[in-house]
Amino acid sequence: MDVSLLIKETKHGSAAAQKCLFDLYADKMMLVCCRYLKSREDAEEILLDGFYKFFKNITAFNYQGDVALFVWLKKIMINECLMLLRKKNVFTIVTESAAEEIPLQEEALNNLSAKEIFDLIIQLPVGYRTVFNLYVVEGMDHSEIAELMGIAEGTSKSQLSKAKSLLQKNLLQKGVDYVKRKSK
Amino acid sequence: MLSENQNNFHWKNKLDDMDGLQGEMLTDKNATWEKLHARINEKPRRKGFVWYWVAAACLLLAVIIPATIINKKQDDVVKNTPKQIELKKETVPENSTIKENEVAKSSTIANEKRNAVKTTLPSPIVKPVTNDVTQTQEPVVANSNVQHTIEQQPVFVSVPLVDTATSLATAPVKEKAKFKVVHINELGDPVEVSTDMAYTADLHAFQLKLATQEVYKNPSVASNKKSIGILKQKTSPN
Repeated sequence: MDVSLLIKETKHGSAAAQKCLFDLYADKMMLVCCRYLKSREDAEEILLDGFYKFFKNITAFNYQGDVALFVWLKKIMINECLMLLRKKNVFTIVTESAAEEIPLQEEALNNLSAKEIFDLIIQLPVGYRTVFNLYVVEGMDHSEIAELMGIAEGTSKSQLSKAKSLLQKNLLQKGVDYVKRKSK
Repeated sequence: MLSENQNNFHWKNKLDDMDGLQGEMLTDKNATWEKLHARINEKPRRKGFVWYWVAAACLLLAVIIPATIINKKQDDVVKNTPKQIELKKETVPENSTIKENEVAKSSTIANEKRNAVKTTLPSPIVKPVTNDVTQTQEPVVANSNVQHTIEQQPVFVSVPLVDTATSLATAPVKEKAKFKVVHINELGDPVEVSTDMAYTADLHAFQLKLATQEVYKNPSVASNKKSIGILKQKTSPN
């Protein structure tokens, strides 16, 4: 399916092209939303909002490849998620000084399945989870995160540190379970 | 280092793995699409439309409020002015030229008073009323068989802003007695009333009850004397 053609048709207001684009990216975007929001209903609502904005502003988009489209769409979804979280006032994080950097056990994560990694991230508290997602998964720096979430840069760093330590703890727990499962 | 980066990429890549995360995907994609499609095709609300209504309401209020205030002020002015003669209708008996003259006099006096307080009184409307009850509301030229009714309309006076001395000078006109309108047929037969009888009728009759239970009262005696004269008359059975 030629995405560039779909984009062109969508710009002309074709509902069929819109549906094709939706079918193509809806599941991926749903995963993104679910990573930021625990509630499935909220994630679905944000997905609708994000696609609505995408179709409304598609005329401003210049197609430069599938990856660019995916990144653009993902950015819209993340922004919508952050807006909802801000609206729900969940970012009531106390300003904290930057904690020391804790290295993440990437190998341990690699040994886990997609579902297990997803569950580990979802189990993190909302502040930790958001900072972890933005820094580790999306690759943003602390200044960007601080601006997006409306928190101090140091707070972002400490949140990430705590998120990582909690994740390590959970990973260790998972590892023990994994070892136990293997030994059985 | 390279292997670490590859591993890092690997676990991050897993998060976009749709096969491994089937449970997190949309359960009913078509229903979600229908919702989205309906929302996209929904006509955007005209936000400015509300402001048009608000502006219209403000304009209306801006017109109504000053009008009401001005009207209220005018009412207050009318209330504060001396009350005009509320003599609306006055019946004049048939063939009584004296009373007609009196009415004419009173109307001229009233006119003079009105001129004195600088008011704008409309001229009294003379409505003829015929003897026939059924023939009413017909403006007929007054003749000898016609009873005249004088109607005065309420007067609105604009009180000028004057000092205390001027306001004292323009004392309010006393309210005149309001006469009941009586049709000629209700009056019955005309009775010749002498002036003496009319005078005595005005005198108050009184009764005295003494210890002997003898009641004395003054009879209505025709008298031209203005002083009070009591003619005692014993009415007790003894």
